[in-house]
This record gives sequence, C-alpha cells and structure tokens, in this order.
Amino acid sequence: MSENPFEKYDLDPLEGAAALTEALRERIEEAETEDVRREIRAAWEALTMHPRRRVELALAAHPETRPRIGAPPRPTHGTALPEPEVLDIVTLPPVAAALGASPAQAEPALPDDPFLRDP
Amino acid sequence: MPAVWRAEDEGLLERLQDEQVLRALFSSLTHDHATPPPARAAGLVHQIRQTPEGGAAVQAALDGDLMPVRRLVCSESYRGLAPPLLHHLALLHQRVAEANALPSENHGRANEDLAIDAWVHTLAAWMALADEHDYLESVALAVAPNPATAAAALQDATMAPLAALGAAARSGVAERTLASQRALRVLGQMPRAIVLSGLALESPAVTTATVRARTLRIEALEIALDAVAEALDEASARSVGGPAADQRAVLDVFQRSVELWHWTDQAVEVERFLIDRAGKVGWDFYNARDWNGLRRLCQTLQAPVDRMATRIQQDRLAGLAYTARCAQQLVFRAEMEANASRQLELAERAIALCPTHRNGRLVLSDLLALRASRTLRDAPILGRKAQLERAYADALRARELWPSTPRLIEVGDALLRQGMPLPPESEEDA
Repeated sequence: MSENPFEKYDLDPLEGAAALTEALRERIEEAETEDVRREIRAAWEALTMHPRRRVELALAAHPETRPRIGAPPRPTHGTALPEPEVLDIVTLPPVAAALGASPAQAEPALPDDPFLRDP
Repeated sequence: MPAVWRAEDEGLLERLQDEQVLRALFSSLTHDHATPPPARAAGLVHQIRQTPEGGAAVQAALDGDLMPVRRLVCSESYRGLAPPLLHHLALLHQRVAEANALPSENHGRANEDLAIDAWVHTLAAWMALADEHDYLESVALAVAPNPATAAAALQDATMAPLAALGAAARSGVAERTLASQRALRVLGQMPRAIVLSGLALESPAVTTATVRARTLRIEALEIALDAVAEALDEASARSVGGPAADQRAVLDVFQRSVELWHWTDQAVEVERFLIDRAGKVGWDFYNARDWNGLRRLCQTLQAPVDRMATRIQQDRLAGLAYTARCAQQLVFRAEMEANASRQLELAERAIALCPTHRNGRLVLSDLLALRASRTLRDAPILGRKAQLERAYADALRARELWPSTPRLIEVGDALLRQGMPLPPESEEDA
C-alpha cells in the first residue's frame, strides 16, 4: 500500500478541495527541500484535480472516526485570585517545637548565605 | 475552582490509549519492523469500544491481554458490524497483509499464512461494505459531489484490493514468484471470504467480487498456460515420427506443467489444460505403439488425472465436459499397467466416471473376459463351482459392456464345456 496523501499529510477527505489546497499550501511553505515541495505538489494535484482519484484515495484512507479532542484547559492567569487570609501571610512557629522536638537550625538570611558570597 | 480532570481530558486519554492498543495490535499481527498504521487508524479501536464486547476487550488490551481485541478484529463473521468499523478493518487487514508479505528474519512460513489470512479478511470486509453501500456512497458523495464520479470511483475502490491481487498474480506467474503464488491463493479463497463477510451467496456484492476474482485468477493462469502450450506445440510438432529425444521433450513439457499444477495448489484450470492436451499426445504414442512414451505420460499425469476424477465424482455437472477425456486417461493407464487387478481397478474407475465411454467399455470388457478365462484355466477340482460362477459373472458382464469382445468367444466355449453356457443374447443386445 503506497502512502496515501490523506494519511501522510493528515488531511480530512471530507473537507473539500479548497481546504485541502490551503492545508497543502501551508505545508509547501514550511517544506525545507525542493524534493518535499515536489512531493506535496504531486499529492495536491492528485487530490484536487482528479475528483475520481480523490474519492478512491479517500476510501483507501482510514476514516476519521475518533472523537474530537476538546479544548485545552483555560489559562488560570486571567482569573482573579481569592483574597489572602491571615494564615496565608503570617509566619507560623515551627511544627517541630509544637511536637516537643528541637527546632531545626534556622536558615541564614539571604545576604548572609555563604553560598552566595563572593570567593 | 474549575474541575481538575475534565471530560476533554478523559477524551484525550482515551485517544492516546486507543493509539497504544492499535500499535500493540498491529505489532501482534505482523513482525516487529512493520511500519505502524497512521494515528487516525486508532479510530478502529474507538469503533471497537462501541461494540457490545468491545469495551472489555480494549480494557483487557490495556491491561496486557490482546487476545479479546484480536478475536474481534479477526472475527469469524463480519455480519452486523458498523460500516465505519468495517472500513477500518478492510484497511487494517490490507496493511497487515502487505507487511507480512515482506521478508522477515524471524518469521518464515508463518508470515505467509498470516498474509493470506489478512488478505481474505480484507476482501470480506470490502464485500460487506459494498453490500451495505450507503456508507461508502455517503463518503464518496461528500468527497466528490458529482454522483457519476462518485459511483465510478466507489466501484473502483471496492474492487481495488482484487485488482492489486490480480496485478500481483499476473506479474510474477511466468517466473513463479512467491507474490504471484500468494495472490493466486488469495483469489482462490473467495468462498472463505464470503463466509467471513457474513453475506448470502446471492448478494450482488458477493457475485461481483466472485466473478472478478475468478476472472483475475484465470487471466494470470492463462499467462503461464500460454507459455506451456507454446512449448508443447513446438515439442509435439517435432516429435511426430521424430527421434526419441523429441518425444522426451514433449514429456518434459508435461512434467513442467504438472509442476505448475502443484505450484498453483492444484488449480482446476491447469488440470483441464493438461487433460485437454494429454488426449492427443496419448493417442500419438498409442498409434505409434510407443508404449514407453505412453507409460511415462500416464505416470506424469497420474496426480492431476486422479484429482480431476475425484472432482468429477464430487460434482458431475461441473465436470461434465471433461468426463470422457479424464476417463480416457484412466483407460490409457489401465492398458499400461502391468498388474492385472490394478488394470481392472483403473478400467472400473473409468467406467464409473463415464459409463458410456467406448474405449473404457471395450477395455474393461476385454479385461473381464481375460480374468474369466484365467479363472476357468486355474479352477481347482475342489471349490470349482465357486470359481465357475465367478468366471460366468465376469463373462456375462464383459458381454454387457462389449458384446463383440474377441476373447469372449473362447470364454463362452469354455463355460459351455463346463456346463454353464452363457444365455443367448437378446435381440436388442445383438
């Protein structure tokens, strides 16, 4: 089975000649070599200039029977964040102290961090 | 807060799972290096999910057990399947067939069987689609709104797999390639494809496909047989009254023809050709009293002649045109046989095949008279009566088959001397 252009270029046979032309035009523009452009042009001719051949190729390609993929999740940056509550902004005491364990050594303040000091 | 796991995400996950199942399924039906079908073919798995057993089968495949999905894809009958599923199946099986036809290091003969099986499934699915018709027509009209163009293209598309098989059969039949042999085998398996399609024999889609497959098969076989016929004509023209080397050439062509018969899985068309051509050559040897030549011809043609005799016995009407010719080959073999009981057996088979065959009746009559004569000659003192009765029965049957058999006169006289004269012939017999 030679490669069917509907499958090779992921084209929907039911979209009609104009849509096929547009999809293949975009591919030609994106093509990097003349060989690829020639190949796409040949596929375009087969699909748009010979209706009978277009039907034969459409029937020889797997039909698109998969359910459509829905829209991706909306970006969250547009939605307003809820107002912060007190617990969101106050510094809480270490949990270890509440459990009776010795608290972990406090991290040094950023300007005193030895890792960031100049050699 | 918006839902974390949406219906759209579920749809995307299902699509990815369908693609995963399709790749695993295709890999299980072919060898490891076969190019997988395009992602769109995963619509097949989505279609399978819609069938009563499909959801569980797909889930089993995702859990690592492909057998339930394989059973649905390689179903025993496509009756009642949705047309889009049939369309996917037709294309998937053709892809499997073509992938398995390519040489693979790990799979030898097994791939050949898988390729043929997949072709048969392809033909079955296309027949079922052609029978349903509405689905293909709607796709064709959506792609090419001109009804005449759509109808013509639709016809070509449903016959495209058969056309591809016909081309493969024709292109390699002279060289006897594996691809040609495979195509001929598939074209010869239309009865199985019809069963798989779940259609009735009288369905127009079945009739059209069957006639087309038969025509394509005959066209391919004719290419091979034309070459054999030409070689035979040339060898026969030289052999008449010619040296033994030329007669051997005729037999060699028959030997090659029998090899062709084996290569085509004992094609009836090749059998008919052999029986047609063997008659004249057999008589040429017979008239030239070239018994070695005739014996070799009979030995060479033994398997195809026996096969044809069996076919005729199974279907008298289909084999009617070849009954007498096949019987003649059995008579030739009976005459060339050294063993008397084997001679009789072959002559009996010839008469069972064609009860009115002139030479068959003549030869069988003579053989029966000969047996009666030997029985009378060798009859012991004790138990003589039983032997006489056996000889009497043989003589009577020999006379029924061919009243003027010369040997019968001697047998009749011997029986008369033993007190068991043959009854007078009726006027009709006389």
